[in-house]
Amino acid sequence: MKKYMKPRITGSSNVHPC
Amino acid sequence: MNKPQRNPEIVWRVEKRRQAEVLKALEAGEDADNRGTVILIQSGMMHQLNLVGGMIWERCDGQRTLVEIADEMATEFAVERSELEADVHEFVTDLIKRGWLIND
Repeated sequence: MKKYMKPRITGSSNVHPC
Repeated sequence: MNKPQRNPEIVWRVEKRRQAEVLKALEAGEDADNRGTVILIQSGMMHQLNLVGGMIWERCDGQRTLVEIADEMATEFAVERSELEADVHEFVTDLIKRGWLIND
């Protein structure tokens, strides 16, 4: 059995920074 | 919600190498809850989901209920069935609010 982690969004960023 | 489905406008993929690294880290007893394994691109933004989030995302194909998704994942993780189902419900609800998932 794998160690469990709660599901989450780990990061968000702009695809086009400029 | 019945059988959540991914918004077809979102481009996404499982980052296989990252996922393999995370699985290895878990085997070594490390925490990997803040490491992204799936990327989503929608309207100029890129988002990352961790391993469990990504596994839920992959299973939101409009064919499975939340209970079925939790059933599948319960065989892989050391977690109480009730906790997993609650987490799946909370996560899917959040992604529906964001418009990333569609409530079928």
